Amino acid sequence: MIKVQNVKITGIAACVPKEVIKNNDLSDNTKLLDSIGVKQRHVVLENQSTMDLCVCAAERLIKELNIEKDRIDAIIFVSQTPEYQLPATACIIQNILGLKNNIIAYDVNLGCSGYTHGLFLASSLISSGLKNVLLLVGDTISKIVDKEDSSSNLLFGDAGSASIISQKNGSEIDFALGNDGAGFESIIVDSDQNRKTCNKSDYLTMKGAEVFTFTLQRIPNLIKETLSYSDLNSKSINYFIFHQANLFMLKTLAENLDLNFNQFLISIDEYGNTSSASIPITICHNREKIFKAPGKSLMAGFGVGLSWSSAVSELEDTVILPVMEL
Amino acid sequence: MNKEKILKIVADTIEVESVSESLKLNEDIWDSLAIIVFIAALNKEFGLVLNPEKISSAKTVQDLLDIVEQG
Repeated sequence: MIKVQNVKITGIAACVPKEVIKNNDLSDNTKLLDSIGVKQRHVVLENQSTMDLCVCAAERLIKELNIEKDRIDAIIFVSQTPEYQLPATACIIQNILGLKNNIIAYDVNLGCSGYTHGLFLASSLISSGLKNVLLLVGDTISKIVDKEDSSSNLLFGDAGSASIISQKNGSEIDFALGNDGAGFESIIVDSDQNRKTCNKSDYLTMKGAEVFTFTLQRIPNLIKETLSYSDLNSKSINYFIFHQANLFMLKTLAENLDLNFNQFLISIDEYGNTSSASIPITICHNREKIFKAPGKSLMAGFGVGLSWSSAVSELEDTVILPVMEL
Repeated sequence: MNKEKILKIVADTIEVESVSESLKLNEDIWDSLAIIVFIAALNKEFGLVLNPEKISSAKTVQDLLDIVEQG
């Protein structure tokens, strides 16, 4: 567990593509559809990318916060679907957004745990003296899903997000982070560009039952340890904002932890599992609810890696923009 | 481990009134969703987290009872 002091989430924005796919048009398996809880998903067109969605969110957020561009000291781009294998997408975005040259810019390859990991990295940079960090988190998993794979094809949506993390005296964020590489094959695209071995796939493969078991083994303890470290109990958390893996998983976690499901913020019905972007898009989608009763939120991401992380933060003064479309 | 409770969980998972130990688990009823629902129900009832590969390899309800018994 790690406490980062004098840091806050100043603003959050999320952007999805305009194109919508209704799951009812693809499947009449109501048991499966009810279980994953996805009614519709936004998916990119062929010429749209994760970078486009994140840039859209970032431009709007920078404008809304009226933050001078030369006060942004770092860009972290967290994604499994970057613009190129190289260079890092963050380097390209620095130029697109017209940010200064004496800036730190790098990519991080993480998915379901990507937002909370990114939040930790951004907060650590603030802790080391930077004033504002632009955290861009998003994925366009629809591009790597096998359309014949019925469960994955009904689950994933595309989204990008932008958050500004800044210095603020007296404000703090508590983090817990972990990883178990023994499960690396549970969620994988094994196109294997370096080893050049045969029989590899460019599509995402997900062993659903293994990921489910991993979540049951790791996440209840993660949440209990996080609450304990932050000296909180479940009633002192206004919102549990978990990675939107699927609705059945979220309900199972709530049951396992004996949490009130009404404290969970949900976006999977409207946007699907948006991978790394699922926590920020859930925040933006539920902004009215958060405005009415702001307070402490416990965010938790878990999945590909296999990797997990949590963050406890106030969202009281955070500028949260509505989900926008590109 | 309470055998009757496990049989009830299997029946609920595949949405039937009751099951016998000899019931064969073919792909039509024992699909990936059923396996996840079964793992979740066992976790809720007994606090167990069972190996999904073993659960998936079960050919009959008796196999499931054996796997649960072994933990």
